[in-house]
Amino acid sequence: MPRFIERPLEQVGLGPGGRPLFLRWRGRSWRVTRTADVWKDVGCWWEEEGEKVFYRLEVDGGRLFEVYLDRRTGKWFLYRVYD
Amino acid sequence: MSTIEFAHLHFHSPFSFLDGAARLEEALPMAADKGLRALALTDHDNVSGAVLFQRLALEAGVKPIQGAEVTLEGGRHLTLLARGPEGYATLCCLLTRAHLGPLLTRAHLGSPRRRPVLTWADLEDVVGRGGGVAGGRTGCSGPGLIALSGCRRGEIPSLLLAGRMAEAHRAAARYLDLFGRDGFALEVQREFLPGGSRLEAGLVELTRKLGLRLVATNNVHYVCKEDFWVHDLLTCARTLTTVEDVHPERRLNAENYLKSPAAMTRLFADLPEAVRGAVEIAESCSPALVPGRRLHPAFPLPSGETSSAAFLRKMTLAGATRRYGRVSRRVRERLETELDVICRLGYEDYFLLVWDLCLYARRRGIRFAGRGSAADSAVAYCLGITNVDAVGRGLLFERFMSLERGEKPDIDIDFDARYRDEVAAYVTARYGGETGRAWGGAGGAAAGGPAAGGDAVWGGAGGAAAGGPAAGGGAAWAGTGGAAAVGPRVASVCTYNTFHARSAVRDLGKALGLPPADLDRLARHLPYAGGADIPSLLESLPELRDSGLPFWKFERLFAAAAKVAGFPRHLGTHLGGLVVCREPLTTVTPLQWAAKGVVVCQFDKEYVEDLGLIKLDLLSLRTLSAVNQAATELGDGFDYDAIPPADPATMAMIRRGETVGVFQLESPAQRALQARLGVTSYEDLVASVALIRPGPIRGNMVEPFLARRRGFEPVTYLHPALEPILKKTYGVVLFQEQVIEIAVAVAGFSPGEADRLRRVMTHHRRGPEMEDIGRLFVTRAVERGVDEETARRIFAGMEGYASYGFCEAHAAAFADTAYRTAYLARHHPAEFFAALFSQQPMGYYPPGTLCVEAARRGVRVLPPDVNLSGACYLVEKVEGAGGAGSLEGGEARARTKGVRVSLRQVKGMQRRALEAILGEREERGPFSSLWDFCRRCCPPVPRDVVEALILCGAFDSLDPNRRRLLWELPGALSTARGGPGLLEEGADPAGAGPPAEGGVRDFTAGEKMLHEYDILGFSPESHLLAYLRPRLERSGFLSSADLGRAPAGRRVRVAGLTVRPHRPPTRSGRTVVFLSLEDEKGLIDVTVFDRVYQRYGRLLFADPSPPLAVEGTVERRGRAVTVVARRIETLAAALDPP
Repeated sequence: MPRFIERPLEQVGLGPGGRPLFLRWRGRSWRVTRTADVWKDVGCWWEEEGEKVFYRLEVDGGRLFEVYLDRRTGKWFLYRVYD
Repeated sequence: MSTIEFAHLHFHSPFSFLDGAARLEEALPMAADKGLRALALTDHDNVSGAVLFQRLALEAGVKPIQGAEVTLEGGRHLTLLARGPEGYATLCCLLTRAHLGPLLTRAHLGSPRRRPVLTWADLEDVVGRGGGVAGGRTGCSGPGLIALSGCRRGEIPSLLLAGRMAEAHRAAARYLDLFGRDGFALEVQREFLPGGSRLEAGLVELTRKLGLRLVATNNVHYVCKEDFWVHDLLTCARTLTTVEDVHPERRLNAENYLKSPAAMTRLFADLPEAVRGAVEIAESCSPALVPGRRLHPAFPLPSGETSSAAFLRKMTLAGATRRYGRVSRRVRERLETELDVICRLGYEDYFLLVWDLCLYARRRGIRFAGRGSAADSAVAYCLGITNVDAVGRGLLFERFMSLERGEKPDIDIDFDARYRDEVAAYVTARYGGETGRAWGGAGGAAAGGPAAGGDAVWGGAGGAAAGGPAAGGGAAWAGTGGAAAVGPRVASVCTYNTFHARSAVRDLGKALGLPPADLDRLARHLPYAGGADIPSLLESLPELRDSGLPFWKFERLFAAAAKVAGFPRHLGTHLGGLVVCREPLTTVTPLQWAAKGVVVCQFDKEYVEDLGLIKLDLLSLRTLSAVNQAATELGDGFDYDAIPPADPATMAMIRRGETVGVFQLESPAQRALQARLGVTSYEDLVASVALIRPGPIRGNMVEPFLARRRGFEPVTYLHPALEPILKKTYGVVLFQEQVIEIAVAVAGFSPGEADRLRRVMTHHRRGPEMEDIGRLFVTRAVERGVDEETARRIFAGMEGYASYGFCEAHAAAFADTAYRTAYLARHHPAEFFAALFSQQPMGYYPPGTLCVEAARRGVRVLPPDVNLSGACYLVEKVEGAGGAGSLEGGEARARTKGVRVSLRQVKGMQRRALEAILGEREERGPFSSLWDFCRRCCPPVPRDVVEALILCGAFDSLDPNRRRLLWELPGALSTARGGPGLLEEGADPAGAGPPAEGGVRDFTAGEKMLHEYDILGFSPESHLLAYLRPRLERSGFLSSADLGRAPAGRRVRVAGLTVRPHRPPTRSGRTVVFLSLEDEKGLIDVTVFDRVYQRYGRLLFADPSPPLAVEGTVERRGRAVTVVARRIETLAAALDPP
C-alpha cells in the first residue's frame, strides 16, 4: 500500500545524471539499489509552480520510495512510500 | 557518411487543431538553426499543413517529410510517413477513408460529426493490396508508406504499458506483415512520463525478437519548452476542461518540444540505434508534394469536337455574334489575342467548364453575375460568364491573365443564393467522376451536359422552360466525361478558422477558469482583431478601457491569445470555392466532412493552387435572390435584363443619396458620396463603387476626384501619355488596370511586368521590393524620354494609390447590379423591399431600417397575420398606404401597395411550425380564431411561438385584444390537446371555440410596440421614436426629416436607434466613428471624431446598443447632411436626466 508522505528529505546522495544513490529520512539512510522509473511533472504552471523530477527508487530491503526534486527550489522530497 | 545527425519524425503543428502549438513559421527556421536536416509533419488525421510545411522547410534547408498521425479503431494512434509522392497519395487515400469511410457513396458517408477512424480493414485494403477493389474506387495506388508504432496511444505502446507483452508482440508482427521490414519501425520516446522505463524495455525487447528497427522521436507539440503552457491551454480548450481539471490528454510535463539533434543524441546516448533508425528513415524519404503539377479538369467535348481550344474558339465567336451582332475587327483581334493566351497557358478546358456551368444556370433560370478581374476578359463576356463589355470599356486583359505571369485565372461568379448549391451539385455531378455523379444529387440528373436546349452557346429562357440540360443531349456528352473516373474529382475548398482576439478570449479564458460573465463581456467588446492586439486595444478603445473589466486578471490570457494568434482552430467550408481535378482528388488531398455538412478537401484556396488544382468560386449573393424574387412578383411585364440604361428618375434618386437597400450604394459613406457626386451615368457608378473603399479614403483620393468630377478643380495630367488612361477618372488613378496601363505607356513595361508592379504595390507597399520596382520604373521612363522628376512624381502618385487598388472590371460588374437594384427601388419599391426583407440577413441595414425606408417610399409595412402572411414577405394591395413627403412615379404607385411581414420573421419560428401553419391554411382554409389555430396547428407549433404570434399582432385580424388572447392561450392549447379547457364556458359548439369577450384590458400601444420590437426586430406600423416624438420635440430634438432643412453649422440634438457604428481606417490613423441613428422618418448620419469617441465610446459600442441622443453640429457637403457629434448620451438619460 502506498503511503503519501510529501516531506523534505534530510539528505540525498546523487550519482551520474543527478540520480539519487542514497537517501536520508527521519535519521535513517537508505541505499538505492535500482531506479525503477523517472518522470517529470510541471505541476500547476498557472500558479507559478516549478517542474518536479520524480524517481521511483528501489532501496535496501526491497522497499519502493518515490522521491522528487523541486527544480525551482532545488529541494528533495519524499513523495510516497510503498510498504 | 550521413549528413543527417538526427531527424524528428513525429511533429505536430497547429494543424493538429488544438493539439499542436508549434507554429510552422517559427519551427522551421529554428529547426534549421538547431542543425536539424529533416523533419516529418505528422498532424492528427490531416495533412492541411503540408503545403506550407514543404514551402517553409525547403526555404529553411530542411528536408520535408509528409505524414500524419492517424487514428485507428479504439482511438489507437499510428504514425504514417510518406516516402515520396506515391506514399503521399496513399496517405491521402487512407485519410479520406478515415474521414468518410471506404465506399464514398452518399449513403455511406456517415455524419459530419463522425470522428475520423481508420479501420484495420481499410489499412489492409489500401496498403496491403496497393489499392484493391475498394481502394480502386478511391483512386489509391500502392503504399509508399512507412509506419511508426506511434505515441503512448499507439496499439503496441498501450499494450506494453498495460503489461500485455504477448499481445503487443502479435500486434507488432501484424504491422510488420502489412508494411514490411522496411516499412515499419517501433517508435521510442523519452518523454519522462510514468511507466516510460517499462514501455521502453518492452519496445527494445520487441525489436530484438522481431528484428525491427527502433526509431527515436519526441512527439513534438511545441517549439520551445517554455511554450508548454500554450499547448496545455489548447488541450484544455479541446477537452473542454480548465487548468484545474485532470484529464488524461493533458501532458504531465514540458518535454515534447523541438529538441536539437545534439540533445536527442545525448538523450539516446545509451540507445544509439534509435537515433540511427530515425536518420535512416529520413534519408529514405523525399519531398512528397510535386511542384508545378497541373491537375486542371478536362472538359468533356461533345461528339464531333476534337480539340478544347477549337471548341472554345467556336463558342467564343458564336457568343461574340450574339453580344455584338456584327463582330468588328477590333473585337475579333481582342478575342484572338485572349484565346491565344488562354490556350498557350492551357486554360481552355477551364474556360469551357465555367462556360458550361453558366450555361446550366442560365437554362435553369438561375440568376448569376461574373465578377472580379474575369470581367477584364472579352472571351468571358462573349461566353456569357460576365456582363461587362471588356472591349467597349477598354479593360486590360493582362490584369486577368498574362503569359509572363502565367498564374491561374480566378473567375468568381455570384449566383442567386438559393440556387448556388444546385450549381455546385451540377459541377460535382458532371465533373466529379463516378463518385461525383453519386454525390451530385439533383444536379446529377443534369450531368449530361449543356448541349440540350435551343441556344447551344447561351442557353436562355427557352432552355430553362425545357427543363435545362437534363432534357437531353446527355448521350453526346457522357461518352468522354470521366469514363475512367475513379474516385471523386470535385470537392469544396476548406477554410481554416483561425484564432483571433475574440475566439482566443472565449476559448482560452474558459480553459484558464476565468469568470464566464467577464469573458463574455470582454469578447463582446472586442473588435475583429488579432490576439496579439488585445493589449493595445484595451488602451485605445474607450468601450474596452471604460468597461470596468478587471484586466489585471487577464494578463496570462492576453499572452496566450498572442501566442495562438492565427492558429487554425477547426476546418470550415469556403463560401464558394470548389476544386475540380483531372485525377481523383484523393490522390492529391484527403477529403473530409466540414461542419456545414459538405465534403471538403483539407487545403484552403491558397494551398489548392500550390497543389496544382484549380478553383472555381461559385458564390452566393442574396441580392440576386432578392432581384429574382422581385422580378417574379412583378411578373411577365418586367424584364430585369431589359432595364433601361441611365433612367433619369433612378439617377435622380441616387443623386439624392436615397439608396438604402441598393446593392453597394447603401452605406452612409456611399449615400453621402452620391449626394455630392451628382451621378449622371453608369461610369459615375463604376467610380463610386471603387471610391468608397479603405484605400481611396486613406489615400485621400475621394475629395480630388469629387472636385474634378464636379468641375471645381481643373483636370490635369503629369504627362501627356497619362491623358488617355486617366481621362475617364478625371486624372485620378482609381483602378488597378490604370496602373498597368501607365507602366506600359510611360515606362515601356511589358504587360506582365506592369502587372507585377501592380501586385508589388498591392501586397508589398513598403520595403525593398517597392523601391526596386520604383527605380526600374524611373529608369525605363527616362530611357523613353520622360524627365526624371516627372517619372518620379508619376510613380509617387501610383505608390499613393497602392493600398487601395481596385479592379475596374470588378467595379463595373458591381455597378451594373447596383444600378439595376436602384431602378427596382425607384420604380418598384413594394416588390423590391418585400424581396429585401425576405432575403434577410443581407445588405447593410437591419429589417427595422428597411421598414422605415419602405414607409418613406410610401410602401406600407403590414403586420404579420396568421391568415395572410407567408414564408416570405408578400406584396398586397392596400388602401391609403402611408409615406411621407411628395412621392412620384413608382413611389406614388407604391402607395397602393403594402408589404406583409412574413411568419418567418417571428422570433422562434422554426421551419416545421411554419410549414404546419401554411400547409393547414392551404388545405383547410383560414383560421377563424386562436382556438381554431391551436386546434389545427398545435403541435407542432410550440406554445412560445403562438405567444410570439399573438404579441406581434399576427392574430389582430381575428381579435385585436392581444392580452385577452394570451389569457385564452392555455385553454386553447389544452383543448387542442384534448384536455379540459380553462375557460370552457365560452366554448363554441364544436367545443373548441373562444370564450365570450370578457373585460380583459388590452396592452397599451407602447407595450404592443415593444413586444413587436422584441419579436420582429421592429414595429411594422409604429416606431419607438414616433412614440417618443412629442417628448423629443419638447426637448428640442430634430427628426431626420427636420434635419434635412437645418442649416450648416447649427447646433442640434438628434436621437434614434443606433445602426452600424463602425471605425473605418482613416488617412491620419486617428479613429473616426460613423453611425446612423434611425428614427421614424429615416436615417441621421453621425460622425464622431476621436476626442468625442474617447469620451463616449462605451455608449457607441455597447451590446446591445441603446437608443442614443446626440448633440452636435450640422455639416453639409453637397446634398449630404451629417451631424458631427459633440456630446452623446443614452436617449433614456437625455429624456429623464438624473
